[in-house]
Amino acid sequence: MKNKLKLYFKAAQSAKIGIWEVNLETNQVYWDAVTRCIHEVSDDFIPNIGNAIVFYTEGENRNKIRSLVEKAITEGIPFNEKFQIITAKNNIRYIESIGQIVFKNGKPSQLLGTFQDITKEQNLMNELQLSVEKFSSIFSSANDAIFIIDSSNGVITDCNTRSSELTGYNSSELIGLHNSELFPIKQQKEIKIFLAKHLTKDDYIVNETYLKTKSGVIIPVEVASGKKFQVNHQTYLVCFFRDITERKIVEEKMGMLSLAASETADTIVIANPQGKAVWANNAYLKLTGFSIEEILGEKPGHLAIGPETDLLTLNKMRKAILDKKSIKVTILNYNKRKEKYWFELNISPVFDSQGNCINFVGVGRNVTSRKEKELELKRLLEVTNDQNNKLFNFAHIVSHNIRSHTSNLSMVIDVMENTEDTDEKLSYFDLLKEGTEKLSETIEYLNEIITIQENTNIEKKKIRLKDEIEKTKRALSLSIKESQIRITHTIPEDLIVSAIPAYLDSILLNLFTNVIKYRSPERKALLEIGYEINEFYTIITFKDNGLGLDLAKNGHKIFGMYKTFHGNEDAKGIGLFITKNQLEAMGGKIEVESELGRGSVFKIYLNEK
Amino acid sequence: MKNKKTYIIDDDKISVKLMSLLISKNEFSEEIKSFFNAQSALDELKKNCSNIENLPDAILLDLNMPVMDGWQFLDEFIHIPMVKDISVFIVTSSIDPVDIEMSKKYNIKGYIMKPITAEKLKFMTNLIGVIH
Repeated sequence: MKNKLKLYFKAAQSAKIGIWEVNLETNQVYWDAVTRCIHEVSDDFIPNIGNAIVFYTEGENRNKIRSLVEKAITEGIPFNEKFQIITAKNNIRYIESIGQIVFKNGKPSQLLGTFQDITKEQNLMNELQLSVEKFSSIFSSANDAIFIIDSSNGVITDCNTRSSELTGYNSSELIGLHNSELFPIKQQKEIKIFLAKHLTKDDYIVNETYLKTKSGVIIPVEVASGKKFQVNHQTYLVCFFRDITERKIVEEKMGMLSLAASETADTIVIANPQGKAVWANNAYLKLTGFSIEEILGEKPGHLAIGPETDLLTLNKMRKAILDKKSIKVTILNYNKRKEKYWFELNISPVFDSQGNCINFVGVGRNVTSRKEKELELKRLLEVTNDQNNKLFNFAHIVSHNIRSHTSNLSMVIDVMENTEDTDEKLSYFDLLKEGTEKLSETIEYLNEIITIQENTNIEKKKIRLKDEIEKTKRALSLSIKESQIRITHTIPEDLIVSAIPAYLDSILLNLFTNVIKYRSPERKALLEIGYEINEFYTIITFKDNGLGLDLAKNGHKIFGMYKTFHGNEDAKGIGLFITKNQLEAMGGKIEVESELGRGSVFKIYLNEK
Repeated sequence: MKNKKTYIIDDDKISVKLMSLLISKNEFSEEIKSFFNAQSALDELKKNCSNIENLPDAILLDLNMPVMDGWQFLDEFIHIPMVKDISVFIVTSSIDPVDIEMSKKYNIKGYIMKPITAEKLKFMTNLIGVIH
C-alpha cells in the first residue's frame, strides 16, 4: 500500500500535479514539491490551515474553498473545483484542486488532495469567452444587417437583429430562407455572381444592389463580403447589408444639382479662398473659350482682363474677394480670342460652420446684347437731352431776349399812340429805332447760333494750334499792349488739332478777349495757355489771374446767352454762349474752374475723331 | 396818389425809359428811381431800410439781368429788415412758365409781363398796399 502510494505520487509529480494533505487529527498540513512550486513559496515555508487559505483570492473564491473544506471534513463530501490564487511572488494563477477524506476506523483522519496549475487553460478559456462576447455583441448590435449563408445551398443559417429590421422578416423566418428570396428578380442574378465571387476569392468586395423586403418594398443597399469560415468542411459566407436609401437620395439630389450646375446657360466658376478656380461649368468654358485645364488654378478675372476692362470695377471685385464679401458687377471681359463681351457676375463666398471661407462661387452671364442696347439707349438719351437743352435754350432766348425787344417796341408804339403832340411823337422815334436795332441784332446772333448748330457736319481740318494762338495774339495786339497782359504758352510746334478753322478762330478770340476784359485791376494780368491730351480729347487750358467768378452762384448761367457777370458796359453776354455752341458743334465741350477774385481756368476740349 | 415812390430795376435802358414814360403818363407814381443793376438797388434799400420816407412803395423788378438777376435780388431782399411794406412786382418780358412757377415761391404782389400798358398799371395800383 505504501509503495503503491509512492508510485502514485511519483506519477503525479511527473504530470506536474501537486499533492497535499491535512492530518485531521494533528491539523498538520503537507504540500509536496509541485504544490509548493505552484504556490511559489520558499523551501522553508511551512504550510498550515491558516496560511494556506490566504493564497486564495479574497472574496467568493476564498469563501468557496473554506466551505468546501469544511463540508469535506464534517460531512465527508469530496470536492473538485477551480480557484484563483495569488502566489507568494504575487502572481495570479488559476488552479484546480481536488480534495477527498480518508477515514480511519470510521472516523475522518485525513484530507488528501491534488493541486494543478491550470492558468494557461483558464486564460485561453477567458480569451475565447471574450471573443465570443465580442463577436455576438458586434453581430447583434451592428448597424449593418449580417447574414451567414451556407455556401452549399444558399440558405441563410444565421442573421442579426438588424436583418429583421431591414427586411421585415423576423429572425425565425429568415433562418432557413434561401438568400434569393431577399432580392427582386432583377437583382437575383447579380447577387448570385456576388456570392460566387465571395466564395472563390478572399478579396473584400462591395456592391450596390436592391433588397426586397417582406412587404415588397425595394430598398437600395450596399452589400459587402465578410470573412467566410468553415465548420465541418462546410463553407459559410458572411454578408453585410447596409441600407443606403438616405445616401441614394442625397446622391440623387447632388446629381441633379451638379447636372444643373454643369448644364445651365449661366456660367459658374468655383474658386478656392485665394480666388483661384477649382471648377468651371460648360457654359463658362463656352463663353470664355478656355479649356478646363487652362482655367483651373488661375484667377478667372485675370484671364478676362482686356484693354477696355474697367479697372475700378476690377478693384471692387478684388476688394470683395479679399474681404470675403459678395458682390455683383457688370464688367467688360475678353475671351480667349480677345473678343469683348459684357459679363454680369455675382460672386458669393461660401463659409463652413466655423465661419471660414472655403470657396467662392461666381455665377455670371453674357449680357453683351443687353449692355449694348443700354449703351445705345444712353447715347440716344444724351443726344435727346442735348437737343432738348438746345430747344430749351431757344425757348429761353425767344422768351427773354426777343420778347424784351418786342415788348419795348410795343411800349413805344403805345406811348406814341397816346399822345396828340406831334413833336412828342417824333421824340419817341429814336426809341423806336433803338429798339428795332436791338431786335435785329438779337435775331442776327440767334441766326449765328442756329448756323453753328446746323453745321455739325462741316469738315474739320488739321490745324497747327501754335499758329492759331500767334494769329489771335496779332489780331488783339492793340488790346494786349493796352492791358499790359502777359501771355505765355507751352504749346509745342507740332501740336495739331482738328477743328473747323473759323470756329477755332472765334473761340480763341473770345477767350483771349474775355481774359483781357475781365482782368483784375489789382494785379498784372497773366494768361497761361497749356494743353493735355487724353484718350478722347486734346484739351487746351486758359488760366488767368483775373476777376474770377462765383461758380456756386453763377455757374449755371456762365455759358448761357446774354449773361454777363461783371457789369461791364460792353459785355454782351454772347461770347461764351457762342464758344460753347461752336465747341459742341465740333464734338467738343468747354469747362470752367473759377474763384472770385483769384482767376479762372477755361478748358476747351477738342475732339480729335 | 397812394403810390408815392417807385423803384424800377431793369438793365435794359430803353425799357426803363419807356416804363418811366408810361408811369408818369398814367400817374402810377409820383416819383421814379431807376436802377440798371439789382445790386445798386439792393444797396440803396439796405441803406434806407429804417427810413420810411426814403423807401419806395413799389418795386418793378426785371428778372433777366447781368451780375445779379431778379431771383438773386429777391433772395437777398427778403432778408432786409424793412420798416415798410413794399409791393414788389416782377415786370419781365419772360413768358417762360418756369419763371412764372418760380415767382409763386416768393412773396410778391404780381407777375406782370411786358409790355407795360395803362391797364396793367391800373391793375397794379389796385394791389399796392393790399395785404394778402
